[in-house]
Amino acid sequence: MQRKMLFNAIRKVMIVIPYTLLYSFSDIILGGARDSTLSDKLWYAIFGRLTSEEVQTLVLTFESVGGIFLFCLLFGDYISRIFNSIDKLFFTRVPSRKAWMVRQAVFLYGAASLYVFIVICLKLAVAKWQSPDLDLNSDTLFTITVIWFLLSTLITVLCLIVNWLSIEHGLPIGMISAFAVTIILEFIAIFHFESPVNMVLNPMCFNIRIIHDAGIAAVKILNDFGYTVVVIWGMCFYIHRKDIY
Amino acid sequence: MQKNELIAENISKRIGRREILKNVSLSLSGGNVYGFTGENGSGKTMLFRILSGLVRPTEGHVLLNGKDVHKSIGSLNIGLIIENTEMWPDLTGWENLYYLSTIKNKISRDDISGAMIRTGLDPDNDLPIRKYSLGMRQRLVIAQAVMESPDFLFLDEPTNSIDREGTELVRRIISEEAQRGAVVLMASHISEDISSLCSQVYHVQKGNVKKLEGNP
Repeated sequence: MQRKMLFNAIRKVMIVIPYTLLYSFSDIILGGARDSTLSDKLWYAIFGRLTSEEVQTLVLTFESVGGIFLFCLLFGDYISRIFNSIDKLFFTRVPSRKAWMVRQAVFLYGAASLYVFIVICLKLAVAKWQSPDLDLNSDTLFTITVIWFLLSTLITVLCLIVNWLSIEHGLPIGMISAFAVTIILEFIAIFHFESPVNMVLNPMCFNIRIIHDAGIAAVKILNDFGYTVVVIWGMCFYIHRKDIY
Repeated sequence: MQKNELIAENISKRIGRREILKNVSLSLSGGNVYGFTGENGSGKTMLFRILSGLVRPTEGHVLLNGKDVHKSIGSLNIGLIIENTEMWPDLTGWENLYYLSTIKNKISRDDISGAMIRTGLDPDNDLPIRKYSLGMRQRLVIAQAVMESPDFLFLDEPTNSIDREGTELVRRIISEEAQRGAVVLMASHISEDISSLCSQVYHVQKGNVKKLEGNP
Protein backbone atom coordinates (compact mmCIF):
# COMPACT_ATOMS: atom_id res chain seq x y z
CA MET A 1 0.00 0.00 0.00
CA GLN A 2 2.80 2.40 0.96
CA ARG A 3 4.56 1.45 -2.27
CA LYS A 4 1.38 2.20 -4.25
CA MET A 5 1.08 5.63 -2.63
CA LEU A 6 4.77 6.37 -3.20
CA PHE A 7 4.40 5.35 -6.85
CA ASN A 8 1.39 7.68 -7.19
CA ALA A 9 3.38 10.55 -5.66
CA ILE A 10 6.30 9.98 -8.03
CA ARG A 11 3.89 9.82 -10.98
CA LYS A 12 2.46 13.18 -9.93
CA VAL A 13 5.93 14.72 -9.61
CA MET A 14 6.73 13.65 -13.20
CA ILE A 15 4.11 16.12 -14.49
CA VAL A 16 6.77 18.78 -14.03
CA ILE A 17 8.67 17.33 -17.03
CA PRO A 18 6.20 18.44 -19.77
CA TYR A 19 5.61 21.73 -17.90
CA THR A 20 9.32 22.58 -17.78
CA LEU A 21 9.90 21.51 -21.37
CA LEU A 22 6.96 23.61 -22.47
CA TYR A 23 8.21 26.78 -20.88
CA SER A 24 11.79 26.06 -22.02
CA PHE A 25 10.53 25.59 -25.57
CA SER A 26 11.77 28.93 -26.86
CA ASP A 27 15.21 28.29 -25.31
CA ILE A 28 15.39 24.90 -27.03
CA ILE A 29 14.35 26.22 -30.43
CA LEU A 30 15.86 29.70 -30.49
CA GLY A 31 18.75 29.28 -28.09
CA GLY A 32 19.06 31.31 -24.92
CA ALA A 33 21.22 34.22 -23.93
CA ARG A 34 24.93 33.67 -24.41
CA ASP A 35 25.91 33.73 -20.75
CA SER A 36 29.44 32.84 -19.94
CA THR A 37 28.97 29.85 -17.66
CA LEU A 38 26.65 26.92 -17.12
CA SER A 39 26.03 28.23 -13.62
CA ASP A 40 24.80 31.61 -14.95
CA LYS A 41 22.58 29.89 -17.48
CA LEU A 42 20.99 27.87 -14.73
CA TRP A 43 20.36 30.89 -12.51
CA TYR A 44 18.82 32.94 -15.28
CA ALA A 45 16.67 30.07 -16.49
CA ILE A 46 14.81 30.13 -13.18
CA PHE A 47 15.26 33.69 -11.92
CA GLY A 48 14.95 37.07 -13.58
CA ARG A 49 17.56 39.77 -13.00
CA LEU A 50 16.53 43.27 -11.87
CA THR A 51 19.21 45.92 -11.97
CA SER A 52 19.61 49.44 -10.68
CA GLU A 53 22.84 51.47 -10.44
CA GLU A 54 24.19 49.68 -7.39
CA VAL A 55 22.02 46.68 -6.79
CA GLN A 56 21.23 43.54 -8.70
CA THR A 57 18.46 41.25 -7.48
CA LEU A 58 17.30 37.87 -8.63
CA VAL A 59 13.53 37.39 -8.61
CA LEU A 60 11.66 34.19 -9.42
CA THR A 61 10.24 34.37 -12.93
CA PHE A 62 6.49 33.96 -13.39
CA GLU A 63 7.15 30.65 -15.17
CA SER A 64 8.94 29.40 -12.06
CA VAL A 65 6.08 30.64 -9.87
CA GLY A 66 3.77 28.64 -12.17
CA GLY A 67 5.86 25.55 -11.43
CA ILE A 68 5.38 26.15 -7.71
CA PHE A 69 1.62 26.37 -8.19
CA LEU A 70 1.63 23.19 -10.20
CA PHE A 71 3.22 21.38 -7.26
CA CYS A 72 0.68 22.95 -4.85
CA LEU A 73 -2.12 21.81 -7.14
CA LEU A 74 -0.74 18.26 -7.17
CA PHE A 75 -0.04 17.99 -3.43
CA GLY A 76 -2.27 20.70 -1.94
CA ASP A 77 -4.63 18.06 -0.59
CA TYR A 78 -1.96 15.58 0.49
CA ILE A 79 -2.64 16.23 4.19
CA SER A 80 -6.10 17.77 3.95
CA ARG A 81 -7.65 14.84 2.05
CA ILE A 82 -7.46 12.77 5.24
CA PHE A 83 -9.62 15.39 6.98
CA ASN A 84 -12.10 15.44 4.15
CA SER A 85 -12.57 11.67 4.07
CA ILE A 86 -11.41 9.07 6.58
CA ASP A 87 -10.51 11.43 9.44
CA LYS A 88 -12.65 9.71 12.09
CA LEU A 89 -11.26 6.25 11.40
CA PHE A 90 -7.74 7.59 10.94
CA PHE A 91 -7.33 9.80 13.98
CA THR A 92 -8.75 7.26 16.43
CA ARG A 93 -5.77 5.08 15.39
CA VAL A 94 -2.87 7.50 14.96
CA PRO A 95 -0.64 7.36 18.07
CA SER A 96 0.47 11.01 17.82
CA ARG A 97 -1.08 13.59 15.54
CA LYS A 98 2.00 15.81 15.88
CA ALA A 99 4.40 13.03 14.85
CA TRP A 100 2.09 12.17 11.96
CA MET A 101 2.08 15.80 10.82
CA VAL A 102 5.88 15.98 10.90
CA ARG A 103 6.07 12.78 8.81
CA GLN A 104 3.72 14.30 6.22
CA ALA A 105 5.84 17.46 6.07
CA VAL A 106 9.00 15.37 5.57
CA PHE A 107 7.28 13.44 2.79
CA LEU A 108 6.22 16.68 1.09
CA TYR A 109 9.76 18.01 1.42
CA GLY A 110 11.02 14.82 -0.25
CA ALA A 111 8.49 15.16 -3.08
CA ALA A 112 9.38 18.85 -3.51
CA SER A 113 13.11 17.99 -3.61
CA LEU A 114 12.53 15.43 -6.35
CA TYR A 115 10.35 17.92 -8.23
CA VAL A 116 13.00 20.65 -8.08
CA PHE A 117 15.77 18.19 -8.93
CA ILE A 118 13.93 17.25 -12.14
CA VAL A 119 13.49 20.94 -13.04
CA ILE A 120 17.19 21.62 -12.46
CA CYS A 121 18.24 18.58 -14.51
CA LEU A 122 16.00 19.64 -17.40
CA LYS A 123 17.25 23.22 -17.26
CA LEU A 124 20.81 21.95 -17.19
CA ALA A 125 20.13 19.71 -20.19
CA VAL A 126 18.65 22.67 -22.10
CA ALA A 127 21.69 24.81 -21.21
CA LYS A 128 24.05 22.07 -22.41
CA TRP A 129 21.98 21.74 -25.59
CA GLN A 130 22.48 25.47 -26.23
CA SER A 131 26.18 25.49 -25.38
CA PRO A 132 27.72 22.00 -25.57
CA ASP A 133 31.18 23.40 -24.91
CA LEU A 134 30.30 24.50 -21.34
CA ASP A 135 31.38 22.09 -18.61
CA LEU A 136 30.11 21.22 -15.15
CA ASN A 137 32.44 22.73 -12.56
CA SER A 138 32.38 23.54 -8.84
CA ASP A 139 30.40 26.77 -9.50
CA THR A 140 27.70 24.75 -11.26
CA LEU A 141 27.51 22.27 -8.39
CA PHE A 142 27.22 25.17 -5.90
CA THR A 143 24.42 26.69 -8.01
CA ILE A 144 22.57 23.37 -8.22
CA THR A 145 22.81 22.90 -4.44
CA VAL A 146 21.62 26.42 -3.60
CA ILE A 147 18.73 26.42 -6.08
CA TRP A 148 17.74 22.93 -4.98
CA PHE A 149 17.54 23.92 -1.31
CA LEU A 150 15.91 27.31 -1.93
CA LEU A 151 13.16 26.06 -4.23
CA SER A 152 12.47 22.81 -2.34
CA THR A 153 11.96 24.75 0.89
CA LEU A 154 9.83 27.43 -0.75
CA ILE A 155 7.63 24.88 -2.51
CA THR A 156 7.23 22.84 0.67
CA VAL A 157 6.21 25.80 2.80
CA LEU A 158 3.68 27.00 0.23
CA CYS A 159 2.25 23.52 -0.22
CA LEU A 160 1.90 23.14 3.55
CA ILE A 161 0.02 26.44 3.71
CA VAL A 162 -2.31 25.27 0.92
CA ASN A 163 -2.92 22.03 2.86
CA TRP A 164 -3.56 23.95 6.08
CA LEU A 165 -6.11 26.22 4.44
CA SER A 166 -7.66 23.26 2.59
CA ILE A 167 -8.40 21.46 5.84
CA GLU A 168 -10.68 24.30 6.93
CA HIS A 169 -11.92 25.73 3.64
CA GLY A 170 -11.26 23.17 0.87
CA LEU A 171 -8.58 23.00 -1.85
CA PRO A 172 -9.92 25.80 -4.12
CA ILE A 173 -9.81 28.37 -1.30
CA GLY A 174 -6.41 27.04 -0.20
CA MET A 175 -5.02 27.41 -3.71
CA ILE A 176 -6.52 30.86 -4.32
CA SER A 177 -5.19 32.17 -0.99
CA ALA A 178 -1.69 30.80 -1.61
CA PHE A 179 -1.82 32.18 -5.15
CA ALA A 180 -2.77 35.64 -3.85
CA VAL A 181 -0.01 35.68 -1.22
CA THR A 182 2.62 34.49 -3.72
CA ILE A 183 1.65 37.06 -6.33
CA ILE A 184 1.74 39.83 -3.72
CA LEU A 185 5.21 38.67 -2.59
CA GLU A 186 6.33 38.49 -6.22
CA PHE A 187 5.20 42.08 -6.87
CA ILE A 188 6.83 43.28 -3.65
CA ALA A 189 10.00 41.51 -4.81
CA ILE A 190 9.82 43.31 -8.18
CA PHE A 191 8.85 46.80 -7.00
CA HIS A 192 11.18 46.86 -3.98
CA PHE A 193 14.05 44.90 -5.45
CA GLU A 194 16.59 47.36 -4.05
CA SER A 195 15.47 46.89 -0.45
CA PRO A 196 17.92 44.80 1.63
CA VAL A 197 15.06 43.72 3.97
CA ASN A 198 13.09 42.48 0.98
CA MET A 199 16.12 40.55 -0.29
CA VAL A 200 16.52 38.75 3.02
CA LEU A 201 12.92 38.19 4.11
CA ASN A 202 11.06 37.78 0.84
CA PRO A 203 11.44 34.17 -0.36
CA MET A 204 10.80 35.25 -3.97
CA CYS A 205 14.05 37.18 -4.36
CA PHE A 206 17.65 37.60 -3.20
CA ASN A 207 20.81 39.55 -3.81
CA ILE A 208 22.63 38.49 -6.97
CA ARG A 209 25.82 37.99 -4.94
CA ILE A 210 24.26 34.71 -3.80
CA ILE A 211 25.64 33.28 -7.05
CA HIS A 212 29.17 33.30 -5.66
CA ASP A 213 28.70 33.84 -1.93
CA ALA A 214 28.04 30.78 0.23
CA GLY A 215 27.36 33.03 3.27
CA ILE A 216 24.46 34.85 1.57
CA ALA A 217 23.15 31.52 0.29
CA ALA A 218 23.27 30.01 3.78
CA VAL A 219 21.40 32.97 5.31
CA LYS A 220 18.71 32.77 2.63
CA ILE A 221 18.33 29.00 2.98
CA LEU A 222 18.17 29.24 6.78
CA ASN A 223 15.61 32.03 6.51
CA ASP A 224 13.35 29.94 4.25
CA PHE A 225 13.92 26.92 6.46
CA GLY A 226 12.79 29.05 9.42
CA TYR A 227 9.51 29.79 7.62
CA THR A 228 9.03 26.06 7.07
CA VAL A 229 9.65 25.25 10.73
CA VAL A 230 7.15 27.91 11.82
CA VAL A 231 4.47 26.58 9.46
CA ILE A 232 5.08 22.95 10.50
CA TRP A 233 4.96 23.91 14.18
CA GLY A 234 1.71 25.82 13.61
CA MET A 235 0.16 22.92 11.71
CA CYS A 236 1.21 20.42 14.39
CA PHE A 237 -0.47 22.53 17.05
CA TYR A 238 -3.57 23.06 14.91
CA ILE A 239 -3.99 19.39 13.99
CA HIS A 240 -3.32 18.26 17.55
CA ARG A 241 -6.13 20.51 18.84
CA LYS A 242 -8.52 20.03 15.95
CA ASP A 243 -11.98 18.64 16.69
CA ILE A 244 -13.16 16.08 14.16
CA TYR A 245 -16.86 16.18 13.41
CA MET B 1 -6.88 -9.23 33.33
CA GLN B 2 -7.97 -5.62 33.90
CA LYS B 3 -11.59 -4.93 33.06
CA ASN B 4 -12.12 -2.21 30.47
CA GLU B 5 -13.74 0.88 31.88
CA LEU B 6 -15.06 4.15 30.49
CA ILE B 7 -15.63 7.04 32.87
CA ALA B 8 -17.03 10.39 31.75
CA GLU B 9 -17.08 13.15 34.33
CA ASN B 10 -19.30 16.22 34.00
CA ILE B 11 -19.02 16.57 30.24
CA SER B 12 -20.51 19.66 28.68
CA LYS B 13 -20.23 20.84 25.11
CA ARG B 14 -21.13 24.28 23.85
CA ILE B 15 -20.79 25.48 20.29
CA GLY B 16 -21.35 29.21 20.22
CA ARG B 17 -24.31 29.85 22.46
CA ARG B 18 -25.82 26.43 21.88
CA GLU B 19 -25.37 23.90 24.64
CA ILE B 20 -25.25 20.48 22.99
CA LEU B 21 -24.40 18.37 26.04
CA LYS B 22 -25.10 19.30 29.64
CA ASN B 23 -23.05 17.94 32.50
CA VAL B 24 -23.03 14.28 31.42
CA SER B 25 -21.45 11.67 33.71
CA LEU B 26 -21.16 7.98 32.87
CA SER B 27 -19.42 4.95 34.29
CA LEU B 28 -19.42 2.00 31.90
CA SER B 29 -17.61 -1.31 32.19
CA GLY B 30 -16.43 -4.01 29.76
CA GLY B 31 -18.59 -6.99 28.89
CA ASN B 32 -21.75 -4.91 28.42
CA VAL B 33 -23.58 -3.26 25.56
CA TYR B 34 -24.92 0.17 26.50
CA GLY B 35 -27.74 1.57 24.42
CA PHE B 36 -28.29 5.26 23.71
CA THR B 37 -31.63 6.39 22.39
CA GLY B 38 -33.00 9.80 21.55
CA GLU B 39 -34.38 11.90 18.75
CA ASN B 40 -32.29 13.26 15.89
CA GLY B 41 -30.26 16.21 17.15
CA SER B 42 -30.57 15.22 20.79
CA GLY B 43 -26.77 15.00 21.18
CA LYS B 44 -26.10 11.24 20.83
CA THR B 45 -23.56 11.58 18.04
CA MET B 46 -21.80 14.47 19.76
CA LEU B 47 -21.62 12.37 22.93
CA PHE B 48 -19.97 9.55 20.95
CA ARG B 49 -17.55 11.99 19.31
CA ILE B 50 -16.48 13.28 22.70
CA LEU B 51 -16.28 9.85 24.35
CA SER B 52 -14.16 8.51 21.47
CA GLY B 53 -11.76 11.47 21.66
CA LEU B 54 -12.59 13.08 18.31
CA VAL B 55 -14.03 16.24 19.85
CA ARG B 56 -12.90 17.98 23.03
CA PRO B 57 -15.59 18.79 25.57
CA THR B 58 -16.01 22.37 26.74
CA GLU B 59 -15.91 21.06 30.31
CA GLY B 60 -15.22 17.72 31.96
CA HIS B 61 -13.07 14.81 30.86
CA VAL B 62 -13.27 11.24 29.62
CA LEU B 63 -11.12 8.42 30.99
CA LEU B 64 -10.72 5.16 29.09
CA ASN B 65 -8.98 2.60 31.29
CA GLY B 66 -7.77 5.50 33.43
CA LYS B 67 -6.23 7.46 30.53
CA ASP B 68 -7.56 10.80 29.35
CA VAL B 69 -8.93 9.98 25.89
CA HIS B 70 -7.98 13.38 24.47
CA LYS B 71 -4.35 12.99 25.50
CA SER B 72 -3.82 9.33 24.64
CA ILE B 73 -6.31 8.52 21.90
CA GLY B 74 -3.71 6.77 19.72
CA SER B 75 -2.54 4.44 22.48
CA LEU B 76 -6.09 3.36 23.27
CA ASN B 77 -7.80 0.61 21.36
CA ILE B 78 -10.95 2.16 19.92
CA GLY B 79 -13.35 0.88 17.26
CA LEU B 80 -15.72 3.40 15.78
CA ILE B 81 -18.73 3.76 13.54
CA ILE B 82 -20.08 7.25 13.49
CA GLU B 83 -22.25 9.42 11.24
CA ASN B 84 -20.67 10.02 7.79
CA THR B 85 -17.93 7.45 8.27
CA GLU B 86 -16.08 7.45 4.95
CA MET B 87 -13.28 5.45 3.39
CA TRP B 88 -11.17 5.80 0.25
CA PRO B 89 -13.69 5.31 -2.60
CA ASP B 90 -11.13 4.13 -5.17
CA LEU B 91 -9.63 1.37 -3.04
CA THR B 92 -11.16 -2.08 -2.61
CA GLY B 93 -12.70 -3.06 0.71
CA TRP B 94 -9.64 -5.09 1.67
CA GLU B 95 -7.25 -2.30 0.69
CA ASN B 96 -9.19 0.19 2.81
CA LEU B 97 -8.94 -2.05 5.85
CA TYR B 98 -5.27 -2.75 5.15
CA TYR B 99 -4.56 0.98 4.90
CA LEU B 100 -6.20 1.57 8.30
CA SER B 101 -4.44 -1.44 9.83
CA THR B 102 -1.01 -0.11 8.84
CA ILE B 103 -1.49 2.85 11.19
CA LYS B 104 -1.09 0.63 14.25
CA ASN B 105 0.40 -2.47 12.63
CA LYS B 106 -1.26 -4.74 15.17
CA ILE B 107 -2.97 -7.24 12.91
CA SER B 108 -2.02 -9.45 9.99
CA ARG B 109 -3.43 -9.64 6.46
CA ASP B 110 -5.29 -12.79 7.49
CA ASP B 111 -6.93 -10.89 10.37
CA ILE B 112 -8.21 -8.33 7.86
CA SER B 113 -9.63 -11.03 5.61
CA GLY B 114 -11.13 -12.68 8.70
CA ALA B 115 -12.88 -9.44 9.72
CA MET B 116 -14.36 -9.11 6.24
CA ILE B 117 -15.60 -12.69 6.20
CA ARG B 118 -17.05 -12.17 9.68
CA THR B 119 -19.21 -9.33 8.36
CA GLY B 120 -20.27 -11.30 5.29
CA LEU B 121 -17.93 -9.62 2.78
CA ASP B 122 -15.61 -11.27 0.29
CA PRO B 123 -11.99 -10.18 0.90
CA ASP B 124 -11.13 -11.10 -2.70
CA ASN B 125 -13.75 -8.75 -4.15
CA ASP B 126 -11.69 -6.37 -6.28
CA LEU B 127 -14.39 -3.75 -6.79
CA PRO B 128 -13.53 -0.27 -5.51
CA ILE B 129 -15.89 0.58 -2.67
CA ARG B 130 -17.52 3.40 -4.64
CA LYS B 131 -19.25 0.53 -6.45
CA TYR B 132 -20.41 -1.08 -3.21
CA SER B 133 -24.07 -0.95 -2.18
CA LEU B 134 -24.94 0.99 1.00
CA GLY B 135 -25.33 -2.27 2.90
CA MET B 136 -21.91 -3.53 1.79
CA ARG B 137 -20.31 -0.24 2.82
CA GLN B 138 -21.92 -0.46 6.23
CA ARG B 139 -20.64 -4.04 6.64
CA LEU B 140 -17.15 -2.82 5.71
CA VAL B 141 -17.37 -0.02 8.26
CA ILE B 142 -18.32 -2.61 10.89
CA ALA B 143 -15.39 -4.81 9.80
CA GLN B 144 -12.93 -1.93 10.32
CA ALA B 145 -14.42 -1.19 13.74
CA VAL B 146 -13.94 -4.73 15.05
CA MET B 147 -10.86 -5.92 13.12
CA GLU B 148 -8.35 -4.83 15.78
CA SER B 149 -10.33 -6.33 18.69
CA PRO B 150 -11.02 -2.94 20.29
CA ASP B 151 -11.43 -2.40 24.03
CA PHE B 152 -14.00 0.32 23.36
CA LEU B 153 -16.54 0.12 20.57
CA PHE B 154 -18.65 3.15 19.62
CA LEU B 155 -21.45 2.23 17.24
CA ASP B 156 -23.73 4.94 15.92
CA GLU B 157 -26.66 3.30 14.09
CA PRO B 158 -24.66 0.16 13.21
CA THR B 159 -27.52 -1.63 11.40
CA ASN B 160 -28.32 1.31 9.11
CA SER B 161 -28.86 0.23 5.48
CA ILE B 162 -28.30 -3.44 6.27
CA ASP B 163 -30.81 -6.12 5.27
CA ARG B 164 -32.55 -8.41 7.79
CA GLU B 165 -29.97 -11.21 7.48
CA GLY B 166 -27.11 -8.72 7.83
CA THR B 167 -28.77 -7.13 10.84
CA GLU B 168 -28.78 -10.49 12.63
CA LEU B 169 -25.11 -10.92 11.77
CA VAL B 170 -24.21 -7.46 13.07
CA ARG B 171 -26.11 -8.09 16.31
CA ARG B 172 -24.20 -11.32 16.78
CA ILE B 173 -20.88 -9.54 16.21
CA ILE B 174 -21.80 -6.82 18.72
CA SER B 175 -22.73 -9.46 21.27
CA GLU B 176 -19.44 -11.34 20.69
CA GLU B 177 -17.43 -8.14 21.10
CA ALA B 178 -19.08 -7.48 24.46
CA GLN B 179 -18.46 -11.07 25.57
CA ARG B 180 -14.79 -10.60 24.68
CA GLY B 181 -14.69 -7.80 27.25
CA ALA B 182 -15.13 -4.65 25.18
CA VAL B 183 -17.16 -1.69 26.42
CA VAL B 184 -19.77 -1.37 23.67
CA LEU B 185 -21.80 1.82 23.24
CA MET B 186 -24.55 1.71 20.66
CA ALA B 187 -26.85 4.48 19.50
CA SER B 188 -29.86 3.26 17.60
CA HIS B 189 -33.39 4.30 16.80
CA ILE B 190 -34.30 0.65 16.13
CA SER B 191 -35.92 -0.57 19.35
CA GLU B 192 -35.16 -4.22 18.53
CA ASP B 193 -31.42 -3.48 18.41
CA ILE B 194 -31.65 -1.92 21.85
CA SER B 195 -33.88 -4.53 23.43
CA SER B 196 -31.98 -7.55 22.07
CA LEU B 197 -28.46 -6.38 22.88
CA CYS B 198 -28.30 -3.77 25.64
CA SER B 199 -27.94 -4.43 29.32
CA GLN B 200 -28.42 -0.75 30.15
CA VAL B 201 -30.10 2.05 28.22
CA TYR B 202 -29.57 5.81 28.37
CA HIS B 203 -31.95 8.31 26.87
CA VAL B 204 -30.48 11.49 25.42
CA GLN B 205 -32.77 14.49 25.24
CA LYS B 206 -31.71 18.08 24.55
CA GLY B 207 -28.19 17.37 25.75
CA ASN B 208 -29.21 15.64 28.97
CA VAL B 209 -28.43 11.96 29.42
CA LYS B 210 -30.79 9.98 31.62
CA LYS B 211 -30.37 6.36 32.65
CA LEU B 212 -33.54 4.37 32.00
CA GLU B 213 -34.45 2.02 34.81
CA GLY B 214 -35.86 -1.46 34.31
CA ASN B 215 -35.56 -3.97 31.49
CA PRO B 216 -34.65 -2.40 28.12
